[in-house]
Amino acid sequence: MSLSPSTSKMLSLKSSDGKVLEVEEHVAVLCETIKSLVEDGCADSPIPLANVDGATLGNVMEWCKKHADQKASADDLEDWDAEFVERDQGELYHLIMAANYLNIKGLLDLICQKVADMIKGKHPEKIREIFNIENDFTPEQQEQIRKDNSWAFE
Amino acid sequence: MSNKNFPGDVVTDILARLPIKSLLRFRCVCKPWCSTINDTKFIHMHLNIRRTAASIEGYVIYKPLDTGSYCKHIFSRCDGNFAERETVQLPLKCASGKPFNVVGSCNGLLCLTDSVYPNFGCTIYVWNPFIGKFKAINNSCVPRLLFNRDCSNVVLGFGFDAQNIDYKVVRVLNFTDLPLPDVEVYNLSTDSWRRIEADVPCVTWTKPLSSTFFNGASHWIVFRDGYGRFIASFDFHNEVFGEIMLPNRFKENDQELTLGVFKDSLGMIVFPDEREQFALRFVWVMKEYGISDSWVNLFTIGPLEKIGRPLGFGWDNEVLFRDYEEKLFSYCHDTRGSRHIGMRSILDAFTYVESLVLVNEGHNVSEQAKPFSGVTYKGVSIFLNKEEEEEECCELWSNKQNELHELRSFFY
Repeated sequence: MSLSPSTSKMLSLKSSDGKVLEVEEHVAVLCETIKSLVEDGCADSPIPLANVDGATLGNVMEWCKKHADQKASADDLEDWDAEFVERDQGELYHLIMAANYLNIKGLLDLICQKVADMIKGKHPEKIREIFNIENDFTPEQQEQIRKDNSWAFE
Repeated sequence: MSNKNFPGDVVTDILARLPIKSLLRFRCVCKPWCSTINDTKFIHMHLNIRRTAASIEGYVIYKPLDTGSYCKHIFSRCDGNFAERETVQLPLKCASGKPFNVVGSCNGLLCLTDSVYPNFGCTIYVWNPFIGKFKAINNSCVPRLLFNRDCSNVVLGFGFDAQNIDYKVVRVLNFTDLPLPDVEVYNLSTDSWRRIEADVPCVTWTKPLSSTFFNGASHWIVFRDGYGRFIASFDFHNEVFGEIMLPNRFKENDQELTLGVFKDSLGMIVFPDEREQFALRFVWVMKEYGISDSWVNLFTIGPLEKIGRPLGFGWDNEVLFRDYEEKLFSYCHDTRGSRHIGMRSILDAFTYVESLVLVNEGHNVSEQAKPFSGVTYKGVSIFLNKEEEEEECCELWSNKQNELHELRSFFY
């Protein structure tokens, strides 16, 4: 199927909070989830995206638009991406969930790398806080892991 | 991100982008994270993602300690720029300063033996220098290896079976009184040896016996009477041997060849004559793996003063040498530049990548397990007491007395 920019029509995307976004088809199909709907001919009415709120959908489509632009150079995209991920934790969380749901590998890779860079130096306690994780180890078990690779805790 | 739960595969995707030091620390975040990080599939996913993304490459430099320490065999781990980072301890029982041999390396693991010519009762070590873990492999499933001192030749290879995500050691045992060699394969996943039926090329294996892992196989330079030199290979997935021809001019034994991997090809450094200080060194690569017509002389190094003996290929298209003052010397093909790294008393240098392999099954180098030799035969384990091996003292461990008698008559 040819989806060149010149012939691209508009698609309506409806966010979880009821906002409708008009997006060019060649931009929206960077989302594998939307691409399969288009290919199956199920993309006529506004496409309901129950897991993505309006603000996040806007951000995701901004990223897709930039990456659908054939004229953008690799260096240009890299710089643009670096700026795009300069966001607070809440926004990054919503973006990562949306990229996962809409199946956009490039965006998911980008945000996962950003989160990895953010957390790499942190203490396990801080990690539990960020990821909302309960510590299910006993103090003895935790000490054992610590002892096993003590150099990593220095 | 508070009060939010990430899907498991997203968490895995984030973890796979973290440095090893963080991952080791994050094993104590919670049990699910710990089991994700310990998982073999995750460890190899992490290796592949990090390999393309970040600088996880370094060198292990082998040199005696400056301090004149009792323990002689110490490697230094450096980053890609040869800035010395730290001293790492070998897993060997090396208080006596016994020499050792590097069998091969892949995915951040080095395979070592505690003697230069692997033979009777030698222990094999699979070692991850970055995380300081190792596995000692002492036993064999070929009883004769331990009890027949006339084993003329032991050949070892180390590599990775990517389809089964398993590390393997292959051992070829040539006995002087047997027409065909025995071949056994060790799997890290099962921590055991098994005998395999394989057609071993009829060759003379040149010493010392280190192998080059590339394209799923170990490679050795070998010699056959009436033909000359060529490369023997062992494919770790299919567990078969193969033969790869060298360019005709290298069939004769007059130039030293060092095998390695250069720019994603099997390559070699040709070292014409040790006595000539200004001699040229040639780098050849096999453009298409297994196609002997595709060998090309990629470039020539020199003439350069004091270039010395090639150690192997380094990162960033570099070739490493030990110069005539036993210092590390590097030549970079991309920049045509050469540099003396300058560390003193270099014996050898190896490339490594940071990997988590062995994080579960390995022992810490700081708490070494006591080595022993042993065989497992028909379900019976026999341990040879190494301390008193001169007296051929062995301990037999089994409840099956009949089997033991059979074994005794087999050995003596």
